[in-house]
This record gives sequence, C-alpha cells and structure tokens, in this order.
Amino acid sequence: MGTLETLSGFAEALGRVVKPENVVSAPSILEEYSNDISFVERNRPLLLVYPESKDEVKKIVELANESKIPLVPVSSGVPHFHGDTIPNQSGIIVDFRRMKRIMKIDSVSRCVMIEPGVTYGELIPEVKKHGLKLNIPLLPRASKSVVTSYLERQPVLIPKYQYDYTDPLLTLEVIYGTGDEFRTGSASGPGDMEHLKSDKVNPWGPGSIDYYRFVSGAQGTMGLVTWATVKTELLPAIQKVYFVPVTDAGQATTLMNNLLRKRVVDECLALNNVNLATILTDDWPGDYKILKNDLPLWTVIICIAGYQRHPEERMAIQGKYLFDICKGLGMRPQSDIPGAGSRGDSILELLSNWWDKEPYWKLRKKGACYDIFFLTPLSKASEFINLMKNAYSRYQYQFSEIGCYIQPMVQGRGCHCEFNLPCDKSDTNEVAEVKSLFMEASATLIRNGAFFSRPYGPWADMVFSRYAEGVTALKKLKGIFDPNNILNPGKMCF
Amino acid sequence: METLKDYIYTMESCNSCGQCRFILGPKSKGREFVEICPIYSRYLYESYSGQGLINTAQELLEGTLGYGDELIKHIYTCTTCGACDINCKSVRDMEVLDTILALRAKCVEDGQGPMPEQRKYAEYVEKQHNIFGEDHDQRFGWLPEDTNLSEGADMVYFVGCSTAYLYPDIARNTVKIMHAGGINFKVMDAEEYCCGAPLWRTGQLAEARKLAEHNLETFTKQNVKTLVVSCAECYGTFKGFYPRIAELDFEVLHITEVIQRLLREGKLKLNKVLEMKATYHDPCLLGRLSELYIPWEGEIKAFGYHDPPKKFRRGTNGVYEAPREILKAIPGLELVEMIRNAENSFCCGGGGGVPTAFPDFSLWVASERLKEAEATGADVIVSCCPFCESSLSNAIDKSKSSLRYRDLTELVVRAI
Repeated sequence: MGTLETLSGFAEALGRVVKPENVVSAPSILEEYSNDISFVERNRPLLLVYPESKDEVKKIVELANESKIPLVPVSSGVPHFHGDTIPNQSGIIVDFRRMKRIMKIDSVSRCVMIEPGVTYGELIPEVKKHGLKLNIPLLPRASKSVVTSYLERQPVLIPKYQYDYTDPLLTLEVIYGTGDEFRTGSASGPGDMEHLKSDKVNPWGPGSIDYYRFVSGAQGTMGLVTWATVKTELLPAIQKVYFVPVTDAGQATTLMNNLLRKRVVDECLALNNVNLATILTDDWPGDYKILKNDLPLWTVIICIAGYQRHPEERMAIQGKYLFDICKGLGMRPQSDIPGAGSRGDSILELLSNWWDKEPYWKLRKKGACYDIFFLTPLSKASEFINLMKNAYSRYQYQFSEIGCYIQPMVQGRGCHCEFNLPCDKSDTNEVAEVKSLFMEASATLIRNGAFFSRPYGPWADMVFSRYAEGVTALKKLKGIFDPNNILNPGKMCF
Repeated sequence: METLKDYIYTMESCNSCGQCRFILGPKSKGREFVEICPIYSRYLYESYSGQGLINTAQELLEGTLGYGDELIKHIYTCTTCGACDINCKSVRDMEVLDTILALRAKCVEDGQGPMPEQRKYAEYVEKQHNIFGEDHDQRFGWLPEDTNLSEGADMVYFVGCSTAYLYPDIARNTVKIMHAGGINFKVMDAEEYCCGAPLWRTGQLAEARKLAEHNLETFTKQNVKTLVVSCAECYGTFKGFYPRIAELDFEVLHITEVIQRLLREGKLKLNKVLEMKATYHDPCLLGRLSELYIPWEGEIKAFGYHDPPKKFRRGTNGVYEAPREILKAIPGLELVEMIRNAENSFCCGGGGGVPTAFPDFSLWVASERLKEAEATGADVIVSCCPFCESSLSNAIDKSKSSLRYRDLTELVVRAI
C-alpha cells in the first residue's frame, strides 16, 4: 500500500515538473513497455513520463532520488529487441520521444546536434538537405532513436570513417544519476552553451577522462543524455555499389580485410543469403524462398563514392583498386547480385535509408527475431560462425533459416558478427527451442572469445561473471554517477 | 628482446585515428605548431607517420609488401623521436615507437637496412668504440689534466661519443659543475664505449647489444652505483635500451638532475646575472623517451587489456622540471615556453641516424623548431644534448637566425 501511496505522490510530483498530460498511468499504455522481442522477463512499469526539456529530466531524476524510484530511459519506438527498456524492478519509464529537436546541422564541422527523441526516419532526410549523410546501421527502423543507436554502439555501414567503436558519437549533455548536469568532450566549456566557442565535435575529455565512454553502451544505467552531437559524412556526388559473391564467410572477411586495409571502399558489409533475401524480397513470402535459393551463400556488398572534389577521378581510382584487390583474391565485383535479377538496384537506396515497410525486416519471416551479436577480429569471424553451426546442430531449428551479417568496424580492425534467429512467438515449443539455442550458443561463443561488448539481458551475467576486476571498477563508477542506483537498476552488473 | 612479431597487437589495433601526428587538442593554442610528427609535417602523406610506419610493418611482416630502396628510405626517414608513441598512448595502449624500432631491426636482419651511411656507425664502433671513427685513445682528450677524479667513487661521468669528440665544452662544463657542487666522481677512461644509441635506433641491434654488454660489465667491475650523463641520447638509451638487456642495478642521472639536487640542497648557488630571454627545447630522449623501460610478459586481452597490467612509458614522467628549475634559478634569465613543450616537444631532427642519412630533412626539421622558438620572442634557445646542439646550431647558421644556441651546462657555469 505504501508503494501506491508513494507512487501516487510521485505521480503528483511528476505532474508538477512536466506537463500533466506527459505523465501516463493508463495500464494499456504501460503494457506496451512491459515486454519486447527478447528473453528478458516481462515486467510492467509503474508510470510513464515524457520529458520535453533538460530541466524536466533533471527534476525527474531529483524526484527519483528522493523517492528511490527507478527510472528506465526509452527513446526509440517499438519494436524493442534487447530487453534493456524493460524495468527489472518496477520503475518509471522516461520516454524521450517528445524531445525531438534537431538543434543544429553544421555543414562546416560536419555534425548534427540532436535530442534523443530524433529518429532515423526524421534525421536522414534533414541532413540530406544540407548535403550530408549519416553513417547509419543496416536498415534501422524509422522509429529508432539516432542518439540511442549511437550510444549503444550499433555498428554502422562505413568502417572507413569510423575511428573508435563509439563513432560517430561526439559530445553529449548528460544528467547523471546524481541529478548533476554535465557536458562531455569539447562541449564541456569554457563558458555556457550560449557562449561556447567550440563546435562540440571533439568527444575526448574534459581533461584526461573520456566521460562519454561512461554512458556509451551503458543501457541508460549511468546517465540520461539530453542531447548529442554526432558526426555526419558528405553526401556523395556519385556512388556505385558492387557485389562480390562468395561461398563462405572466410572469403568474405578476407576480401573486406584487404579492401579496408587499403581504405578503398565506403559502405562495406557481408550478408548471407537468408538476410539478403529477407531484405530484397518484394512479394513476401512468395518470392522469398526462390530468392534465398538463387542467391550466393554470402554476398559482400561494397560502395565506392565520389564527393565534392573530383568525384569521377576518385571513383575511377577506388574502382581500380577494388578490382585489383578482388582479382588478387580470385574474385570479381559485379554490378548485379547473381540470382537477384533487378532487385540489386535497390541496395544503394536501402543502405542510405531506414526500413520503410511493415513489419520490420527482421520480423518478416516469423513475427519475432532474436539476435546474437558480438565483436571479433575479421580474421576470426568465420571460426565463430562454425561454432554457431556446431551449436545449432543439436537442435531441430533449421540453420538454413538463420540470418548472418558481418559488419567490419573501425577501419576493419574488428567486426560486428550477428546471427538473426527468426521465431514464431505463438509457438511455445519453438520459442523454447530458440531460447535454448540462444543461451547455449551465446555461452559457447563467449567461452571461445567472442566479445559481447553490449551485454543485454541474459548476456550480462555471462559476460560480467568472467570479468571480476572490470565489475569492481564499473561499480565504483556507478557509485559516483548514480549512487542511489535509480537508473535502470538490474541491467549490466548493477 | 622483442621482435616485430611481438607488436602484432599494435599493428592490428591501429584505427588510423591520426593522433600520432598531432598534439592533443587541449595542449594546442590555435592552429600553429600542432603537428608533432617530423616526417608527416614534411611529407604530408599518411604513410609518413607513426600509423603509416606500423601499417608498413604489418604489410612487411605478412609478406604483402616487398623491400625496395624507396621503402627503406621511407622507414629510415623517421627520426624515432617518439612523439607518435606518446600521443598515441594518450588514448591507446599501443607501442608505436617500439614497433618502428623493431621494423628497423627486421630490415637489418633481412639484410635491407640500415641506410648505407648509417652502416658506418657499426664499422666505426667496432674499430674505435665510437660512432665517428675517431681515435678511441682521445675519448678523454678534452679532460683537463688537473681534474680531480676520485678513483674510489661509485659515481661515474659517462661522457658519450658526441660530447667527447664534437662538443667537449659540454663535458668540461659538466666536470666544473660537479666539482663546484663538491661531488666525488670518476670517469671510465678507455673502458667507456659508445652507449649504442645510434645503433639501437637504426636497428643494428647485435652491435648495440655488444656495446651495452661491455658497458654494463664495466659498470659492475667498477662498482658503479650512479651514472651521470650530459647527453640526452645516452640518458634515453641507458633508461630505454639497457633494461632490455639486463636489469639496471645503478641509478642514471642527467646532469640537469644533478644540478637540480645541488641547488635544492644549497650546495650550488647561481649568483651571476645572465640577462637573456630563453626558451627551452626538451630533447626527445631526456623528455618523453626517458622513462625506465620495464619488461612485461603477459596476455593482451579484449580491447587491449593487458594482463597483468603493463607499465607503459607514456612520456609523462620525463625529465622536464629539472632543466626548467635550473633556468628559473639563474638571475636575469626569463624563461618562455614554446607551444610544443615537455612530452610534446617537437624533435630537432637530430636523432634516429637521420642527420647522417638525410641531412637536408634533418635541417628542415630543426628549422621548423627554430620557427617555434623564434615565435616566443626568445633570443636564446637552450637545451642539454649534443645531438640537439648539432641540429639546432646548424639550422641557426643556415637560416641566419638571430637566435643563439646554448647548452644548459654552459649557462650554469657562467652563473656560478
């Protein structure tokens, strides 16, 4: 009873710091936040609040500290996939979707300053108007928050312009769990925001500590970001996409490694036939099976581009090196995807945009999809794919239906390796089978050195139980920035 | 000793961020004097930088790049000043300079390096134990006959080739200062061989090791507990190379550290007025590359986590304060700093065997440093290394600069 009293008192207090209509307690709406497409257990939040400004966020955090009521930040629209937005303990959802100002598009410094509610669907067309483009993840959903995507280190498509796993994230404004307001990197000062001379593009510091790393990949446990500056790239004047069909992941990673070492290509990724067919199929599901069977087992997708200065010459040089490197490996780039007919023409458009169909591409097959992903050097990706094959061999689940995606990151110095396990959530047996495979495969991969750098849901225990020293350090940091553990408790190792 | 293969982690994890070419943002003061890599500043290609050289090393190691004259020139143009290394280490745990040095060692091992002019170091050292081929018997020819040496002392003044043969005034002033401070010391006479710096830094490791072993054996025989040097190259070599051969059981002090102690203990007074506006140039091997090398064995785990933790030489604990404290103690002397100072000091172009093989480039680097010194409004540039003296004095002569070069020991002797 006491909880309810506290909650009602809390709701009233919230209503005084945000607009009353921005505090929601309707069970039907709260239900939407109680589960997602992950193996994290369902749990309904107590309330939902929509802040509209930094000051409101700050006051919400202060109230939460007074009442010791947990806050769970959410910025993206549904569907959610990782369980990080489901309260572990009953808490308040802080939904940033009404903080959606595009504060600045800076063509000179090639960056944008945005609030966390700004989505890919909104930002991509806006930056395009300024002759810029975002280095985006593979086909993000339109409702995906750009800030969350970069904060959570979703892999982006152009490894050549990525110098750190946190790229393209630059500077941030953060409200820590203490309620303190802080700006990271060159946004930190000197001076207030009105008088700050810096263009806020240097993420490092202030001082010798890179504060932005504390909130990166933290699933909202360290601080709430109220705006971020993110890097943009120039919009190509001309661009061409090539496809290199290969028979296994090893060939794909060798090729990508060679291309990236010479810094030849822009977008660079490899998809297996399942994922490529899922993305390219127009007439679902009729076309899917035919397309999947006709496609190469793996396709490396590569873009080269010319920009403002000498675009044709740049394209010619990059094209020459692309063909030379492929030739040295006994491969040949093609303008069309073998077996895909004219569908390959849409790839360039797909790689520059959000997914604009319903349902989301990963959900097309069975309505749900569980992803296993981790970081590894390119040279080891195929070993992990073999490990995954061994793991599934004991299950009825058909591996031929598992999507695979290899995304080189940070100049190809590492890669994001992802398996997509489609699942029919209405079939309890299949869900149980997929869950068992998911857990066993994850544990095996971690044991063999796959680096689960974004330990969502059940991965947290698997990762942090092997990392005692790191956990001690992280808990110290958490104690400094969120001493009452009000920010998304129960996630990570907190 | 580590070989190129031991630096695979560094090669594989370089993310081409370019920090090896520039000083950190907060250390800069505008757009001028922010570049820190001499070869990148001159040639403006990515391959001419720490990152370019470690990419080259990786390609050579993996056999995807073959040797050629131009490649060897490219590898040996670097002054091995280590600015790339410490700037990289401000954000990463990588060993950029050690990779470059190991790359040079590989070139020598494969019969491709060093540059022909640099091969002479080894020939001269073999015959005369110094890098100039000068008469070994004259190594202490600069030593005044009436010098009061204490044969029983456990402190040795190691003079070094460049000081002994090219800049003997530095040696004489060092001796005068030690005497003025009442320090008992001796010299090694015929047993002092080159410290091995030019050989180490051009990849001629077998020859460098021989010299180190000889000197270490002599230190033991002569019961040396403290080694005093007046050359930054010698200092950096004793602290950075010798521990790769054997654990040091003696203290290494640069003369600036000795003077600092004497001043603090009141055993030396600087009373005479020297009216001048001076800027201090930090020699690479007395500054960022002067930290003690501590051998490490272990495993490099995900994201570069070194288990057990490795003590990296990040350049923060170089000898920066001692020379500045001394200069500030000289009456009448006004010290002004260049933008690139301490661990971010821009190289004088005098290291890595570069003046021997690429004198024009060496001169260009020194001239760049002079421009920065001139921008401070100083009339004197001070340093404490004969290699820096050679480069900077040469550049002053060639550019007809109004600046004058002074070794710090000279100023101290004049101020006593």
